[in-house]
Amino acid sequence: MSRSHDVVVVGSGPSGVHFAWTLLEAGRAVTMVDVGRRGSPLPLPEASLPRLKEELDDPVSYFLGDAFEAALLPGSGGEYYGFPPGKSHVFEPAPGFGVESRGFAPLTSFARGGLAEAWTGGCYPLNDREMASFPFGWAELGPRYGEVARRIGVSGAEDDLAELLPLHEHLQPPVALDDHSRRLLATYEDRRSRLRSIGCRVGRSRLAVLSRDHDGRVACARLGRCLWGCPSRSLYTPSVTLERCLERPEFRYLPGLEALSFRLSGGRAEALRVRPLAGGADEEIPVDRLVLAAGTLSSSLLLLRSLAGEGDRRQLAGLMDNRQIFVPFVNLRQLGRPWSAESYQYHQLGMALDGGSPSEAVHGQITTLTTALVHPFAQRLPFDLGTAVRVTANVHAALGLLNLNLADERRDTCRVGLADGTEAAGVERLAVRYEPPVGEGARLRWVVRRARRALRRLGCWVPPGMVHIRPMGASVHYAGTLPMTVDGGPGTTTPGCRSRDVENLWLVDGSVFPALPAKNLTFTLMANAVRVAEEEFG
Amino acid sequence: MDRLLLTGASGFVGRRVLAEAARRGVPVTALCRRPPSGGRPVGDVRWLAFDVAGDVSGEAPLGGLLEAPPEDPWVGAFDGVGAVLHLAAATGAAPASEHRRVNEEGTRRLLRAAARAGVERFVFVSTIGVRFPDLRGYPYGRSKAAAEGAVRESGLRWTVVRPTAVFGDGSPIVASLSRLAGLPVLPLLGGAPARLQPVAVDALAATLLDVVGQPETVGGTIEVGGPEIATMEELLRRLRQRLRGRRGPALRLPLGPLTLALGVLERVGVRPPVTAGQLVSFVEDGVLDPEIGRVVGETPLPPADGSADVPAGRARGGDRSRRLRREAGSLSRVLVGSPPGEPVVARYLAAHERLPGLMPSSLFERAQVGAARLHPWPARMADAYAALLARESVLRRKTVLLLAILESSAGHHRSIDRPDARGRLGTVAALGLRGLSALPLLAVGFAIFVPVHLLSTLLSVSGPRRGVDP
Repeated sequence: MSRSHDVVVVGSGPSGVHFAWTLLEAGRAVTMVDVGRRGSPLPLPEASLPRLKEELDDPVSYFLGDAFEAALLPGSGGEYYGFPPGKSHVFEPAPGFGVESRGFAPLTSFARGGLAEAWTGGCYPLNDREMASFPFGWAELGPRYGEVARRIGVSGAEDDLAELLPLHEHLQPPVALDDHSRRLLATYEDRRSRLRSIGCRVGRSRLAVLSRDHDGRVACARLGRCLWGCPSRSLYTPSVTLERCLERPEFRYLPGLEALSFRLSGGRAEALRVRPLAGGADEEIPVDRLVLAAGTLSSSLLLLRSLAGEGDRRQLAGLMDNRQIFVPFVNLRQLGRPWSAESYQYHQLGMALDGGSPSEAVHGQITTLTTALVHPFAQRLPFDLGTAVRVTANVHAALGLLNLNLADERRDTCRVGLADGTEAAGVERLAVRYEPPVGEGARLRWVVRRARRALRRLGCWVPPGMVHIRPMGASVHYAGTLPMTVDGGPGTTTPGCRSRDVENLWLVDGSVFPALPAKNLTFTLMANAVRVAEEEFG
Repeated sequence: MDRLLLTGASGFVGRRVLAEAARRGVPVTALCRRPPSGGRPVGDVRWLAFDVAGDVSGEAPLGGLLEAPPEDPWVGAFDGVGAVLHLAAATGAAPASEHRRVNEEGTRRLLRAAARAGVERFVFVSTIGVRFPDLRGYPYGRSKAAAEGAVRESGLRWTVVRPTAVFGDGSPIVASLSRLAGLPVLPLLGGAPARLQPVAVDALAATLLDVVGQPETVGGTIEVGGPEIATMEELLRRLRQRLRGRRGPALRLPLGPLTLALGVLERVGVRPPVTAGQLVSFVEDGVLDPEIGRVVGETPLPPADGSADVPAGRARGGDRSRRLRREAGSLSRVLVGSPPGEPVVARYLAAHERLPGLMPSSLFERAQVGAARLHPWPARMADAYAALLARESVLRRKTVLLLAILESSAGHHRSIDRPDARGRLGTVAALGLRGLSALPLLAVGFAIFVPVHLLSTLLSVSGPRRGVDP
């Protein structure tokens, strides 16, 4: 590998593929280095979830996994969803890769498409208030949200949430609501003023889910299989865009390579050091301009190792993640209604709880639990499981889950660095330390109280003892270790996401976020990657 | 030579008697309810399927080993018989009514049948426990004492033999005591001051055959024991030494509350390491009366400085899948009201090979799982308690695992996912009924498992968790 590559991108997640696609559309050449783990094809692509249980040869292994890894037994963390075995490749690490962590449960991905292969499709543009600490605003990012929506297909509506979720171009009409979501929304409309008075707004989710056929993909067929993998690809994942890239002759995709670090010389990255998964010696790929899109943790690790190779062993401060809280509820108006497993499985409605500032605002996704497995829910009821199963069947049509996302801010106490140990230079492990802000417990209780009150006004009851505060790291919305600043020193990036430590290095993933509003950041990752590609590489 | 009619021939002592009889060339008519497992015993043995208490066993003859039970169970049983050695007995954790039915009534029936058949020599094997001063909480001793009375009044040429604790390979007493001795903290029930004088099973078997042929013992009572006396505490410590290779901590426990809790355990069908009735043997001496005692054989007590040994009870894996199947059946009926299909059971078994935390590791968890295996109702009671006070206990994990498998399985998932629309009123009524029906379960579950959980916590203070399936 002696040829010099103009632009080398590391990682095929949402940032990487949209960065690459922008350059390819402009007629530029791009090389992408990726571990690129792939899953197996999804079985019975036409079958709905209940049919899957009947028609698969081995449904238990499909839903729970051969090692029962998706069975959530008491004492294993209190989650409401297991990782679907069909997506196990998304979370499978590269050999020898590991993270030491404190106060943080890190997830990383080496899959084609990255962690967003397992996302729930929420596309939430940031508004100007939320971008207050960003070196740009809606004027710059708005058109890029529209461009991403044009590529991937985003459905949604102009409703009460639009104040929080600015409208952009290329929005498809929303996907059809299931019965439960429709009734919840009707209740909200009946009681709008009472809910608005407590700062609660409810509206349609913005989803990377097709309500109309688009770009060779078909509209959502409501198979109820979202969690286990959408067989029609109506639910967008970055591997869709990666396939588009692969059709372009200017795209050079180098899978099966784990990027370890890059060799520095005079403040420039000279070559990317990679380790073939198939075995064999490490190799070097010469680079002219290097773009890291490996995800906040992996990109930080690459930079830290490379700097350590020059004797600069430092830590990066400011790691952020959206704290998530699961609030299960029973919609009393929905009790005793029929329900169908054939619906979009993830959230169809969103809820916003206003705060005094964007950092106090909370964004919730409302999922009606039509096709989730019931054992994580039933085990939390205070009855014997025989009774719990029957109670669950009685209230199934009325069950829902509000997934609250809380904002995070950069703090000096949340850091990533290289783990102390005996690893050889260049393959050190990452060490993560996260400390929640002072007063976190009171803040979480306050948020849960507000959510309970909002749900009550929506005619829903929150059973006691079932709220689950997820550990930090669980939402996988990592950001903030190399923030974009107008002027800053080492450990920051320019408004164009160019590193201030390495002259020819750009970072286009979550690591450059100066703040993390209470919204899934994936859509913004893609829009920002488009922005950087156009402004810096155009 | 006259035949010997031997009852309880497939039991722990009976098998040794058969072997000894074969060695001596004594022909035996062997009575037992179930044929013995293992190979055909050597010697001249005629097997009859028989329950001395009168209910003819429904079990079919196995491989020609057993003769089919005739219409009148006693017809032909005494053909060629010159003496009866009556070993059969209900022991251990059997309920008091069973002790009386088998030990007392059964012995009376056998005595009458022998008299009718004209067989005069009758050796009755009793227990040293009949001499305990207070037999009220000890149904086994009580029934044996009553049977001794019946034997003395029978008019036959009788002898009563009272063995002390019988030790040897497969000894139920040693198994019970070993379970106790293997606990993380050695529980010394009532302080365990009782003195014991155990007898080796082979020596006892030989003595029993001797007694049958000794006319000087007619009309008398003989006690049979070994040469060494030790306290229960000493015995438990030696067993512990052998099992775990060290002596470890011990805890002296008062008898009163223990008797109560153990009684509850037995009611729900759990085999605790020691039964309430057996508690008495921890405080009452079980040594020979010098007047009527015979010391036989070598001491069967483990040596005082014994080294670690592989516990005899550990190689019981073969029963495991059978128990797990029973458990899956019971829990499936709790969850979906029907037994599980074979693929579900296979997955349930496979999960036990792969997932941690599915082995009961305390007395409480063994009691939970034992209750669950018994029947769906005790399973729900145990789970109702666990749902509130032991959410991460083994039974909960097992039940949730089975639920996860059932809801992912063809057919079964429908009874969990079923979209039944009853309307709002109907649903509220159904939920109310569910609540009402769950309340008594909860009440009984608490009554049983609060003391068991307390006892279990008491026994396992600071002990390491062990992964032993009961």
